[in-house]
Amino acid sequence: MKSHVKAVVVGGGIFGVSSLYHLAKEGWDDIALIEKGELTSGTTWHAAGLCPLFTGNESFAHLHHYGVKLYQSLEEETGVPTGWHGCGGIRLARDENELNWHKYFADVANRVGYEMRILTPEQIKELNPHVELHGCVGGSYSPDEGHVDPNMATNSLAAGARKLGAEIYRNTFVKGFEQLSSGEWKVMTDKGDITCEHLVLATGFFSKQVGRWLDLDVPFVNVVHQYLVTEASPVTDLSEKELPVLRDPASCSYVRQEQKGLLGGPYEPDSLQTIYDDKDVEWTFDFDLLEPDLERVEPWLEKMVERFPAFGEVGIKKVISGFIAHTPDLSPIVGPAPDHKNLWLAGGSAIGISQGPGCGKYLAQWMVHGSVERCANFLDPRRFGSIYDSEWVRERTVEVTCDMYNQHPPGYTYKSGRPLIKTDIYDNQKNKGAVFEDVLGWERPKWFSRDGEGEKPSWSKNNSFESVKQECLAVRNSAGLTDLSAFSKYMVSGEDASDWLNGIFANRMPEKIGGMCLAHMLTDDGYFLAEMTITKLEDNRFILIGPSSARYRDLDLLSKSARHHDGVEVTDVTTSYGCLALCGPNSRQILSQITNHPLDNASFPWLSSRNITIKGVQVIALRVSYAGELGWELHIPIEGMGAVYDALYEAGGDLGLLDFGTYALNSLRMEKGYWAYGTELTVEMTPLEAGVNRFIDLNKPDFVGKRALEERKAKGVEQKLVYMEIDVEHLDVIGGESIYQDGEVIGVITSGAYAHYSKKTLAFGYVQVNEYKSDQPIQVRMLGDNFSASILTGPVYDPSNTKLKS
Amino acid sequence: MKVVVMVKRVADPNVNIRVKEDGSGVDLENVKMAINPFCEIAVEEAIQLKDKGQAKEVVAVSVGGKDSEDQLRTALAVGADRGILVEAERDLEPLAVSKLIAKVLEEENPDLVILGKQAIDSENSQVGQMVAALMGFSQGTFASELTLKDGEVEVTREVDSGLQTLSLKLPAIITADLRLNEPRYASLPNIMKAKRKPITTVSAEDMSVDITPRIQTLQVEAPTDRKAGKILSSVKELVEKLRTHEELI
Repeated sequence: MKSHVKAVVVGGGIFGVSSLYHLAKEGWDDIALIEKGELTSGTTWHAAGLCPLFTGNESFAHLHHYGVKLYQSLEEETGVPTGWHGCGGIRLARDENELNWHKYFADVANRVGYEMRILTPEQIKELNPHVELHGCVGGSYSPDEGHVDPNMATNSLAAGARKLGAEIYRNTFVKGFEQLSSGEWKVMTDKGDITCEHLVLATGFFSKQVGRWLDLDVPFVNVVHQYLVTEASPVTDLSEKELPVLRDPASCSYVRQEQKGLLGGPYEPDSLQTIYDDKDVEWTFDFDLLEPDLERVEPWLEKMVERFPAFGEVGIKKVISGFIAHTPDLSPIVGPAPDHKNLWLAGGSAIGISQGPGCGKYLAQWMVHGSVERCANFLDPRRFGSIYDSEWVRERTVEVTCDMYNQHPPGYTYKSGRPLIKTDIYDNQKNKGAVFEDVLGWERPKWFSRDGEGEKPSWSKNNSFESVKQECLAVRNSAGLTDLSAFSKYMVSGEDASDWLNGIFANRMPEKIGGMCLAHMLTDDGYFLAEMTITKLEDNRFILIGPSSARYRDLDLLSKSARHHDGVEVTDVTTSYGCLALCGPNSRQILSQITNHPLDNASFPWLSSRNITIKGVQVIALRVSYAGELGWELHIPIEGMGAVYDALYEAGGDLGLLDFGTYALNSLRMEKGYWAYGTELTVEMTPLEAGVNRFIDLNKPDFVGKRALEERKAKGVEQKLVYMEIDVEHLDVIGGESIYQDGEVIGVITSGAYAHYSKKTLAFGYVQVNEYKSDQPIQVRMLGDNFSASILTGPVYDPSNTKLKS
Repeated sequence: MKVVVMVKRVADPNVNIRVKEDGSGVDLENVKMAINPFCEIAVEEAIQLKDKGQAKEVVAVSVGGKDSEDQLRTALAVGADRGILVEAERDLEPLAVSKLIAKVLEEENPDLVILGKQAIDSENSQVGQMVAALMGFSQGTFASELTLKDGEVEVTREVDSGLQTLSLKLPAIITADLRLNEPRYASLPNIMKAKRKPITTVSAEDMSVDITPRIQTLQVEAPTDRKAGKILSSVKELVEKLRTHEELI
């Protein structure tokens, strides 16, 4: 065993081996993998090997597609076959709304680069004559997907890694880790110690206990999954093309061919078992399985046999019951571990064989180059944090796993573990019909269902339409109030605070107390990393307000950077403050009734901040409005939320004040042409593509990403952000729709909304600069149909900002 | 004709066996369990007799913990008609098991009893023989072929010197060897139907049988790890190694 390497990967399952292979591919050859038993001996060896291409969104589509491509070509490179079976796959749809999901995703898949077609029941029968189609309106077919032999696939990756110089130490038991003063990691094993710069934990269902050695709470839940393999079935014929994998939401199961037999597995929607969430897995649990329990899954097996009767006509050869580490959002955990330098996590995939290759590649890029080729926020370990205890993690993981085969139309929210954070106004909002979404534990109103019906999620316009319209019109005509407490908030203080912030953010920090700016953190290469509103509260003290879901990630970015600056202190104050945004033409009149602070333009101009007192509560008020109206964001100490909310209503009741939610806010900001962080601004774009140059101060001596940005500016951009109106009435923009010109895809929609005040469907999107012809019409593909769209040159509403400044 | 077939719950032969840290036995917590493979062959033979119309009823019997019901269900899923579980603490010795089985047989009065030749967990190969002795039944152990004739059963046994064919008077005890047949798999609908077939549970303690342990377990140890092999370049080198290093020849 070597004594010193660049990186050590712990764990020889598909995630560990893929990480090792891709690290070698990205250019690190002095690396090693340590596995306590044999490769694949945890979860990988008993996986069903499925590589689906029907995924939830574009990020997953890229991830899965990469895996499928790699498994088909890997043997050529490594000499070891992966056992790839390119049999294609069919997913059934039970009703038109579900079929809309297929239509939405088929567009995404085609843009990503693989075929997916919508099928009628007759066409499904042609591809698989053995399936019964009761309760199905159709489905979709991805001809390029298939399955591999998990063992062979892992060994093929291992062979590839070895060829590139990586070492694999099997039967080597890691006993602990120590971070040395040099920052390097010492990995202690039963065969001796090995020191490395970077440490990757790909420890699968052992991750919770391994994480504990490092004081790291890995939100994994070990979920039991069972599948059955039959003996030879008369419906299989090895001389013919293999049957496509069938995925059936009605029985929550998949069925595929396995040699001459069939293989089927149900994901039980209500009897899911988790194990080992209160105790550790024995280290000796190696190539091991659990006792099957078919009784638990009987209702779904019955439905599965009804769907695929041949499955019931032959004997069941074996039942595999094993456990798999799942996460609370069914997305793997891949990337930097919070709080630790050069510690990386990889695992937590429900379909690890499919996602292992892509996750390994992204992790390797992150480690070697500092960034990933695509936005990897959906994998980032720092999307979770201390707000979630183990009970929440288990509850939510069970819910998302049980829901795995269901569609999640826009507007769908999970129910478990809520509410986690409840402000004083929660009950009040609830009584008013608030429909909430949970954002990192906060309950944020999406809209107010004034008839109490709640939301009926749908792929087309849903039942929130009339209420959201009412909310939008209130903001434009009188006043609206929305709860944005979920914002992440950080206090930054210290004598170096201003210099440090100027070094890591691209905009110039405010110099005057009460000054504020919108600023972005960029990667070294100039891509968007984070967005925050930064306000100078007093000398050497700033409050940073950022997107809700990025709370722990941004905290980690700030903290890791601040560590090198003695004169800077970063504190997460997210849960100490709530936020109410008051906006609309009557907002000054409302606010003036409850505070003595002057609110006129001279005393409190647009884009400034003041400390004001409302009902004895000290509030940080920012004169900004994402809705594009006269308005204030009020950041209120959490215990004062109830008092301020009540005071605002007391004052605003007669002035048309109405609660509104994020749906209305989205509609209003689209009207104003304001981009959103996370959709328009992502780590796949720089300020040049997005055209947000006015928030980038290239005159500053230096900031992270400045040089790359200057170089890029000289070269020109390949994509640019466009703002458009789409001629469509019955559908809402979801995000992820393709933009067409002359029958070719030239771009993608990032986000949009129906603008109720202007009565237009508006959207943002990126188009390829060299393909987009500004004098020709464009179309946007929505649920299988193309709708014409026209590019807008400026905001639909108040382009001169007179409302904001009024 | 009534056939009783015995099934035993054992750790699945495909999973790794772990010895408890204190050396008191094998750790079966969270281990996949299965029907003893030889019992599976016994069940298959009984079902085949039923398929041929020679057996009218097949009763599957298991002695063990409550969980052994799973293995009885497996037997019911492939075609046994009903099950009897003699519920007892898990680690009964062969003689105690045999006495309990004998009690059941006295009640059931079968013409033929088929067991596996041994269980893969403790590898004793004692119960069939002991039951035969207790019941005074004729016995044909390690059967590789079985033919029913009028009031008799002809059994081919695999013995060291070749094949031995015995003709046994009924009622008889047969223990199944590996080559007796190839067990079938139950189909999914039959697995589900098996849940509705009757299983009678009797408590071992209520059967007035002395099941007191007579053997004391001192220590259970895992076999020592096998050393890695070496690949040699020639026969000559092999002979030399055997002579000099291993002192085997």
